[in-house]
Amino acid sequence: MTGVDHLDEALLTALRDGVAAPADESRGRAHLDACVECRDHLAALEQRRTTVAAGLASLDTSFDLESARAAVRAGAFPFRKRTHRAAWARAAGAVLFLGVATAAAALPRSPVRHWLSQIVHSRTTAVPAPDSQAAGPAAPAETTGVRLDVPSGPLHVVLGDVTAGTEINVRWIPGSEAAILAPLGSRFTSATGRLEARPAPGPVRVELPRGVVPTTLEVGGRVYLARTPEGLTVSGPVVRRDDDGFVFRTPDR
Amino acid sequence: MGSHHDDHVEFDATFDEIYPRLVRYCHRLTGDRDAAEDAAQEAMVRLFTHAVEGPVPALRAWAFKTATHLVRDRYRVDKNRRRLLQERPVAPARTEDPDRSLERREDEARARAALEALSPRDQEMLLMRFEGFSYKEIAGAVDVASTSVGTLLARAERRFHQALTGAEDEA
Repeated sequence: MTGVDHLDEALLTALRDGVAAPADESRGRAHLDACVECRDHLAALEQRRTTVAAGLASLDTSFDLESARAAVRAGAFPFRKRTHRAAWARAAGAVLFLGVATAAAALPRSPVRHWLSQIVHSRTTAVPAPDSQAAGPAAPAETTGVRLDVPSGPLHVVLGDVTAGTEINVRWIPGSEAAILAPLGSRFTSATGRLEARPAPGPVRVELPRGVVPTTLEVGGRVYLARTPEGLTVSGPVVRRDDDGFVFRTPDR
Repeated sequence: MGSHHDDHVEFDATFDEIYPRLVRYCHRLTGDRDAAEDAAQEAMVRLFTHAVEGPVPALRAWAFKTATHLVRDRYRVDKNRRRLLQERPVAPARTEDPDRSLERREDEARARAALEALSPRDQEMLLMRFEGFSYKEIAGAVDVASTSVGTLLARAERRFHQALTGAEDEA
């Protein structure tokens, strides 16, 4: 039994770990100098620390830190680079379009005016809600993801365990960075030429570098899209398409 | 340009300082590799998206506290599963390395059972202490008075050691 004259285990543990308050440290060290029993207890606690640390270490396993780094980076800074590019692209496009439209409007009988009106009509019917579904909706606040630099093909993007009815927005993008962005709770892995995700329920965005060939998108074990030197094959359930990509919807089970 | 580079350097440095220990802590706490990665990554994402500022130890304490709450809320194994783990003293096959010896797997199972014998709060305190956190940081993370941490920690460590070794420690 530990008597009132001996140091209690909490203080001995604090002394052992060097975290005792200064006053307790002084009092404790003074007591240890004079008390064999407490010195023995402290020695036992030091041995116990070693055993506990070894026991906890036996629980450890290794983790893929690079995949985690990519996932955290994508989750913390979603769409950051694209936002700047998309804003510039939209501004430049708008200026160009307004200039041409103004010139055409200045020529009442010009065939250019008629041609432009047809183009405008066909574009607006092909892309029902400009920008809202395709190129640049703001990233959902609760989005995470993974990016991978793929200077050359092949690129294989795999989505597994996808919830039925999930919209998968596939965008062709400039540059060499492929990405999967999906709701928080999704799981990602990456390796050379391969990006893989098990998305949490909710919309998924896949960014594929336009110049990387071959590229394959596989969803639930089925190839939705394959781009080879011979051309593009789209075999997934497309619900919308435009110049910059496709939106697929996984079938209801 | 320079600031973008600096952002990357700062991100990498912060990530490297915090994440490896954070995911280890979450894995020790949950015994589940996927849950550990989910909680640790989400805590890191929140650290960056909330633009938490301060020296690395403060950022690390913030991330550990966030991950602790995520584990509590979402991933903590329920009592039935905990009981099941204790009844089957071999770790789940999916976390095993094929090269691991039987002895090592038994050590792991014994440590897991010993940890699961503690209350969730005692587990969190013990694991944070063995990640090097101060009593004050532990108190902030697990919502106990800092004056109680020393006593609670000593008791948690003693119980873990007893369960691990079967030894009767001095009280």
